[in-house]
Amino acid sequence: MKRLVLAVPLLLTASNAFAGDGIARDEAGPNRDPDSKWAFELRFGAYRPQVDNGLTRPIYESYFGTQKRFMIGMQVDYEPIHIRHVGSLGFGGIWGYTRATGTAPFADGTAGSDEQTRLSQWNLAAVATARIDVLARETWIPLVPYGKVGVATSFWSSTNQRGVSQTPDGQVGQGHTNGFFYAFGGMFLLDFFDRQAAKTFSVEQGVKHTYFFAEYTVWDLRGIGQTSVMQVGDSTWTLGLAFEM
Amino acid sequence: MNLLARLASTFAFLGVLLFAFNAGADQLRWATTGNYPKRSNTTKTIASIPFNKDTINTGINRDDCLDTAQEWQLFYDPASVVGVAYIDIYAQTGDGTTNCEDIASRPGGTAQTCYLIRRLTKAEFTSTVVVIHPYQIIAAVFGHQDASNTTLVNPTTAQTQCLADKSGNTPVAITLWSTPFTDSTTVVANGSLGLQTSYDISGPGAPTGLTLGAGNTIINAHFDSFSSTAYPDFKGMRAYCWPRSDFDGGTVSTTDTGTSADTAVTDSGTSSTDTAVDDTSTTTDETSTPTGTCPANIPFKEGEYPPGGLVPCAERGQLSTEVTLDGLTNNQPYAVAIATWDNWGNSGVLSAVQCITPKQTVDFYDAYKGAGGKGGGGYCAFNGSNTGMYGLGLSALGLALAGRIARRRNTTRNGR
Repeated sequence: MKRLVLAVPLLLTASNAFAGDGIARDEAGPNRDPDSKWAFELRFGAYRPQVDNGLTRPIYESYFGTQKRFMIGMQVDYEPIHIRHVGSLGFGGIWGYTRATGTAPFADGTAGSDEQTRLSQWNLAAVATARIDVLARETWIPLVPYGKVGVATSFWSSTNQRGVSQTPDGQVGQGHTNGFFYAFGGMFLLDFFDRQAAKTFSVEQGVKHTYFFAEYTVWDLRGIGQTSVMQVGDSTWTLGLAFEM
Repeated sequence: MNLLARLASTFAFLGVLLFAFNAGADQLRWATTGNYPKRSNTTKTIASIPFNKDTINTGINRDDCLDTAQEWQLFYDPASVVGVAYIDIYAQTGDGTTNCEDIASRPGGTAQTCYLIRRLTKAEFTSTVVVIHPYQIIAAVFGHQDASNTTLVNPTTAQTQCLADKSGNTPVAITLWSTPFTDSTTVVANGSLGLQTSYDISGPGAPTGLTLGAGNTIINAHFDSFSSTAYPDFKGMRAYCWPRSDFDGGTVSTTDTGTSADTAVTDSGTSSTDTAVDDTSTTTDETSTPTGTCPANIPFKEGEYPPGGLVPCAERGQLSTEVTLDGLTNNQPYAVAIATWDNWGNSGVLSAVQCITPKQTVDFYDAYKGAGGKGGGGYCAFNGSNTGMYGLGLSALGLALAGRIARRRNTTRNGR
C-alpha cells in the first residue's frame, strides 16, 4: 500500500516531467474535459452463465458446449460529479444480451434430434461508476482507471422450436434473477492519437472524448432476495468503446 | 372561354370520338363499361376493366383454370351483330401486335400466336352475354387450337392441360379477339374485343437437397438454397406433410405406368375438394424413393403438383433454406415434400419426398428442472423473500438519489 501511495505522486511527477515542455495548461488540462456530462459505452464480451451452480449434475455444456458466447450491451452514464485532481462519479444503466443455442436430444436416448433449444438473457444493472481521470486530465498519459458497482437483474428465457419451454406441470422456462454488478478496468483515451480529429469530432458531433476500454466484469446473479432462481451470472472480460459527451 | 365551356367542348369531342369508334355499322360492339366484362361463379374479383394483364390476380392462374364453373361474361350490343352467322373468339399470346381478326395474317405452325377459344353459333349469341371459361383459354393456347378445330374443349380434358405446364413460367400476356362471320369465310365486322389479360398456371421450380430433422412434435425441413433468379414471380415456400387429419388422401390413380411400384391409394374420403392427380407419367414418376419410415398412402410425389385440397403444413413467404412443421404427433411417421409458390398463387411441383418420425425431446429447461433447478415460472414470478426484493429496490433507489443529490450540489457549486 505504501508503494502505491508513493507511486502515484511519482508517476504524476514523471509524467509532468515527460510532458515538461513548459506549456501552461488550463485547469482542466489538455486531454480531458471535466464538463463531460454523459458517457455512452458499447460493450462486447464473452459470457457463460453459471447455471450449473446448485444443480445435482452439470447440464450446460451438454446442451451448449464449452464455447463461450458473446454478450453485447451498452451503458449510459450521467456524470454529475467531477472531483478536481481525482476524477468523476457517474450514475447510469447497463443493458446486455446473450443467448446460447444447442440441440435438444431425444428423450429415448437415440441420436439424431434436430430440435433447437435456447437460453437467452437480458441483463440489466443500475450502476455507479467512478472514473479516475487525473492522469488523462493533468498528464499526457491517456489512461482512465475506473470501477463500477451496482444492483443487477437478469431476465432469462429458455425456448425450444415451439416457443417458451414448459414443463408437464405447466411451469414456463422464464424468470428473473437478482444480484449485483461489479467491474473494474481501464479506459484508453483514443484522442491521444489524433487530437485534431478529436477536436473536430467534439465540435461537429458533440463527442468530447472517445475511449477503448477493457474491464473485468462480474455479474453476480445468484438471486439476492430470492430462493428459487436460475443462477445466470458470470465473471468475464468485457471490451468496448466509450464516448463522453 | 371560361373553364366550364372548355370542359363541355372537350367532353363533346370525346363523345363524338366514342360514338365513331363504337357505332360503326360493321363494328361488333363489346361493352367495356358497367359490370362487363366480369367473372362469375368465383370469389375472385377483377380489379379493373379492361382486364389488366400486368396486375396480379386479374388473369388466370392454375386454380382459375381448374375451376370449370368460373365464367368470364362478355356483353355486346345486339344491334352490332345483325347478319352475323357466328363469331370466333381468339386468344393471342404475346404483345398483341398480331391481328387475329384477319384470317390471312394469322401465323400458323410453330409461329402460331392466335388460338381459337371457341366458336359461337348464332343461337349462342342471341342473348347479349357471351360466356367463355378460363380453362377454354388455356386449352386453346396449350392445345394450339385454330379454325380447323372448333370443337369445344371438354372440361375434364382441359384440366389435364391446366396441370400439364410445370415449366415455372412467368405470366404470359394475352389479348382476346373476336371475328364475326356471315359465312365460313366472310368477315363482316372488325370486332376486336380489345381485352388484355394474362395467364400463369405454373409455379416456380422445386427446391433440391431436401433433408429432414425431427424434434418434439416438429419436423425441420432443410433444403438447398433456392435461386429465384429464374422465377421473378417467386413468392415463398410451402411444406406439405402426410398424414393430415383434414385431408382424406385425394383421388390418386392406381393405373401407374411408372418404372417402380407405387402403393395404390384408395380414396376413402368424401371431400369434394379432391382433385385427380396425374399419376401416369413415365418421365417424372419415381425419380427418387422416400427415405426413412414412411406412412402409408402418401398422396403426393416428387415432380407433381400438390393435390388439390391438401393444406400446407408450414409456409414461409420468403426465400429460405429451412421450414419448420409443427403441431405434429410424436411417434407418427410423416412424409414431407417442399414446393415453392408464386405471386399468382400457383404452387410449383414438389421436391423429393422424405419421411421422418417426430419424437419426445428433452430441452434445456427440461434438463434444468430434471437436475434440480428451481428457477422459472415467468418473468414476473416471485421466488423469495420480500426483504431481499425490497433491499434490491432500495439499493437502486439509493443510487438514483445519490445521483440526484450529486447533480444538485454540482449545480449549486457551479452557480447554475
